[in-house]
Order: sequence, then structure tokens, then C-alpha cells
Amino acid sequence: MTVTKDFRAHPDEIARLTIGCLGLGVSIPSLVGIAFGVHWQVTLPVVVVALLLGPGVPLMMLVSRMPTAKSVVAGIGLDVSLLILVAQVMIMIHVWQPKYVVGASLVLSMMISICLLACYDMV
Amino acid sequence: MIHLKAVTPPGTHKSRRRGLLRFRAVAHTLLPVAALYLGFLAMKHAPIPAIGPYGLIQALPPLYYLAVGLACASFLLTWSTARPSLLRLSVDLLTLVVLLQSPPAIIEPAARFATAWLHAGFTDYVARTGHVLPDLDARFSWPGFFAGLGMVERAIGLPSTTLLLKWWPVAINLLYLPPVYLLARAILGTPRRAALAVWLFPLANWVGQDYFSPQSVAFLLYLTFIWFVVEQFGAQRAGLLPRLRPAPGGRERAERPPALMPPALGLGVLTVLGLAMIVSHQITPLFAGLAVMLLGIFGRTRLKTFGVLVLLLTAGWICYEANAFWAGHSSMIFGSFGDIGANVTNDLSERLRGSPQHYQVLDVRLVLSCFIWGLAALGFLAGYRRKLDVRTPAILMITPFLVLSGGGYGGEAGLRVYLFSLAGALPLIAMLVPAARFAWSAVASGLVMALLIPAFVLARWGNELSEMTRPDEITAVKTLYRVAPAGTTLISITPQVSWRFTDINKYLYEPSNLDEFAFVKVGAIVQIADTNPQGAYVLITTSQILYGEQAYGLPGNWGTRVERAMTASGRFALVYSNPDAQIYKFR
Repeated sequence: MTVTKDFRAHPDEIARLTIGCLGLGVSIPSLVGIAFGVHWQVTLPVVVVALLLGPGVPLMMLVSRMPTAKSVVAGIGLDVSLLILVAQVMIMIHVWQPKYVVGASLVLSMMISICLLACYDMV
Repeated sequence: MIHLKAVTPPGTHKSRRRGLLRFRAVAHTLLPVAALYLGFLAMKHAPIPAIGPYGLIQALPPLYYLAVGLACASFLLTWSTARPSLLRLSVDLLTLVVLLQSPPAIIEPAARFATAWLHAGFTDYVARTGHVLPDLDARFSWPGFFAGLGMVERAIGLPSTTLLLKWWPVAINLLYLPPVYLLARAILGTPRRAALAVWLFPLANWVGQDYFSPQSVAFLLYLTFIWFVVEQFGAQRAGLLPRLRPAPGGRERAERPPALMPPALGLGVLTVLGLAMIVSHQITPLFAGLAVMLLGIFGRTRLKTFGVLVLLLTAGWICYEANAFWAGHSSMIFGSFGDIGANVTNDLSERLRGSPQHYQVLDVRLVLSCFIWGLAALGFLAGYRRKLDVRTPAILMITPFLVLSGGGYGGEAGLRVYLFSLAGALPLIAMLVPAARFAWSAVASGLVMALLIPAFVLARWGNELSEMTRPDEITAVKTLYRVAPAGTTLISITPQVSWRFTDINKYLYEPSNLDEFAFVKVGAIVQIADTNPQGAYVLITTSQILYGEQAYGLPGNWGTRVERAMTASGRFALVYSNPDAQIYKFR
């Protein structure tokens, strides 16, 4: 097999790959940490990164033509907003299930990250 | 006689230049590392007793300022190169924010600022119960922040959000930087000017609204919201009002990039951001709605009615969910509507009082704010001459002032106006930088930074003597919660007390309003304590007494006098004491 000069990844594709892998890489341990009640000192940093990153950032990369930096900023804004709104709705309808909702958010983030990776195409 | 002439071997210039570049690269890599190391060293050895009436500036050694200076030098080195690296700029910015925001977290043993402890108590209550108490505190009428954080707290099993208080300002300030940069980039077009704007942000942001609070997160959402409006829905066409100049175009005018996503999707993102602001904080959505409305009127965005929608939704939330608040405070909201002069005077007069040193700190804050606004005004003129887009940043800078016409907001509106005006002021300042001759710009920027560094430390941490929380005070509050039966009244003599971080609805707290504090007469305390048949306790801490001296200008021994009078009245018995706190039981 010969490797030619044209076999190079486009920067946008590398960014997609990175965000997709990162999304998966933090969502899975976060889910495991929450499900098994791992000590907060271990779960806190991973879950915070996972909730800031997903599902907004991979979603922005999937549905828009925004460069990585812009996707990250818009995605973080979207994630923080969704967390606030979902928690607000739970309070208003008197259903307080933080573990399930955060878990669902992480699963959603994982699925969108997988979609992002599925779209990965090395030019 | 033979004269020997030194001959430069071919290639020497090139190798010298290469060596210089290599030295520059190595120095550049080491500068932020050295700045961080020296800064941490300086903060680690800053003595707490040295914190005086001027705050942390008295405790921080010269090494600290050298560290911040190195961070600025590193930035200027990056900034003045032909192609500034975004990665290097990011490292420099991270260094600057950590150095500017972390001194209290490193020097002080407990997390600072009483209100942050209170917000931790609110969050923990929501995390534990899933309910809010709008009748207990007006902030529960905008519970988005407490609910969001409470949800995460409960999901990961965090024992208390008080654990997050120390490093929250550093984290949230780091999160502000990307939207500030992208907003400046969208306005200015060039990354170099945008880099200067974002670099000035941590130095100019002395306001201190970045503690663990709803407004800290709401400001992040505001920055993202405004950037998204300018970036995704930006326009350069006639608005509802006539143009400032006859025709668009010009040498330096940045071309608007095409929309980044389908408009419907963009509107969806904006709606989510807007709703999160509306349920989290009282006045942030007003700033956002007004800004978008004015941008639409002046033709800087294609969103002509979205700003009005945000304002209507905000009003809807106040009517529906926050009715417990406005039913009792309608005169506060609407009473001073439109009276800009009175509102400015009230805001300033509520802030401008206290000890002579406190006055000087306030003077520095005013001068620093006027300096930033003055530079922005000059930047407006420079940008206008250079045919840059001055209208967008000018609207973003001026919009917050309109909020002053809407009400006093308890003396904090002035602070918010300055903070929100930075989103427009800093890009305007960056317009002072010409397209060429960056060396001179770097020198000028360096001088501005040299002025801003000490001014920031004094303005931001100038009240640290009373705003810091002493570990013994927390011990006393925990003791109070242990000895006081549920339902009793807990009284403090000034608002600067870090309590209510647990069991927020177990006791009655008095006074409940910031303006009712500073009891010098024991009669007032007895009057409140007498109203509760279940009993009352009075907590007196060092921070309270120092706050009375600093913020109200009370004499140095006022705390001792109050304590003596309480003991002499025969109605109070000392039940607990440590070097920084005393608890008296009312009988």
C-alpha cells in the first residue's frame, strides 16, 4: 500500500474528529461515574467538561458550517442554556430527577458525537 | 601598512536573524510559564494580616506585579508579530486571567464574599428539594441558575456548592473570553484588533459580578447572545433610522461573512439563549433585548423584532413567575421609571459613602471606568475616520445606560452598566490601533496596561478587608446553626456576613434588606428580637464590623460599643466567642 501526498485530513475534518472523540471520551466516563455513584472529586471535572461540551458543541458542528472556535462558543452557550431551562422546567412541573436528566443529556451528547464521527471523511 | 578590515562571512546576517527568532520563540514560550510561577509564588507568600483598608494591593508583593507585567509583555510580543498565533494569545490570556482573578483564592483560607455563600445555600436547597422559595427571597423568582447548578450538584453527588465558590470567578472569567473575542472579531474584522479588545477585558472588568451568582452566568449568556446576533444576523443596510454616513464601504471595512447556519436554526439558538437569561436574572435580558432592538433600528442586524420579543418575554416572566416579587416592589420597579438623573444620583450616592480609604477606592473605580469610556470615545472617532463599523459597538456601549432610566436596581445598576458597556467599549478602543505601525501601538498598549494593572488590583480587590470571609466566622455560623432552635430569629448587625449557606428556610433572618443594616443602637436589635417568641440570636463578626467602618464610615470602635451596650442591657448573653465572631442569645 502506498501513501500518497494527497492523503491529508482537512482541518475541519480533524476538528470534527477531535470534538467527536472528546464528546465520547467525556460522556462515557461521566455516565459511568453518575451511574455508579463515583466520588464527586472524580466525577466533578469530567461531568462539567462533558456538560459544557455536549450536546451543543457537536450539534453545532453537525448542523452548521461554523468553524470550530465558533461552534465551541455557540455550543457552550447552548449547553449552559439548556441545562438551566431543563432544570427550570423540572421545578415548574414538580418532577425533580437530576440524575436521569443529566444522564439523558450525556446519552444525547454521546449519540450526537457518534453522528459527528460517522460524518468524518478524510479527504 | 596593511589595514585589516573585518569581513562579515556570508550568511552571518541570516544566522543572526535566525538566532534572534529562536531566542524570541524560546523567550516567548517561557514568559507565560515564568509569569504564572512568579505570580503563584508571590500570592503564596502574601501575608493575610497585610490586607488593609485598600485591600489586596497592600498584601501583594512587587513580585506579583512583575508576574502580571511579564504576562502583558508576552501578549505584546505575540501581538506585535506579523501573524499573531491564536494559541499563544490564548495561553497569554489564560495566564492573565489566572493571575488577576486568583489572588483571593490563593491568599485567603476561605471563599470570599457573603453573597456567594448565600447563593450556595439557595443552590443546595434546590438541589436537595427540587423546589424554590419565592416568598423567602426575590432571587428565587429567577431560579434558573440555582436550578441548573442544583441539578448538576445532585447528579454528581456534590456535598455542597460552597466547594465551588473559591475558583468560580477564575473559571467564569475564562469562559467570558471566547465570546468577547468572537464579538470583537465580528465587529472589527481583523484578529489583531480583536486580540487587543479581549486582552483589555480582564484588566477593565473590575466590577466583581463574577462571583458564584446568577448574573455571572447570565453575563456569559449575554456575550454569547450578542456575538451570535452580530455574527449570524449582522447586516450593513439601512435601518429604520437614517445612516450616520451616506454610503457604506471603505478601505478598512470588514466584509460580513455569510450566515453560518439556516436562519431558523439560528433563531432557535438565540431563543434558547434568551429564555435561559430570562429565567436566570432580572436585568440581563433587558440589556440583551434593548441591544438587539437598537441594533435592528440602526440597521446592524436583520432581526428587527426579536429584541422586542425578548423584552416581551421578560415582561411575561415577571408577570407570571415573579409576581411574588413585583407585587411587593412595584414602586421600586416603576416608581423611578424615566427619571435618569435621579436614578444615576441614587445609584452613585448608595455606592459613594464610607471611610476615606473606601472613598479613594471608589474614586479609582470611577476614574478607571471613565478612562475606559474615554478611550472608547476616542476609538469611536478613530474608527469613524477609518470607516470601520462604529455603530455596532457604539450601540452595545450605550444601550446599558438606558437601563438607568428604568430604575435604580438597589444601587447596583451603575456597576452593571459599566460591565455590559465593555462589550462595545473594548472593540471601540481597539479601533485606535492603526492598520500599520504596530510597534507604536504595542508601546501605547503597554503603557495603558501599565496603568490598568495597579488600578485593577485596587478597584477589584479594594474592599477585601470586609469582603473576605474568615474561617472563624464560618465556624461561628456553623455553631449558631447547631445551637439555635429552628424558627428563631438570627440577627446580623451589617449585611457582610457569610451565612445562610445551609438550611435557608429553617430560621428567620433579620434584617432582610441591605438598606436596613448598620445598627448602632441596641434598641433596634431588641425591637427585632422581641418580635419572635421562639427567641433570637445576634451574630457579630469581624467582617461585619469592618464593613460598617468601610461602607458606612462608622468609627473604628463601633462594634465594641454595640457589644458593650448589648451586655449592659442585660437582654443578651454571650454563648459563643472566637477571635472573629461572637454569638449572643436574646433573653
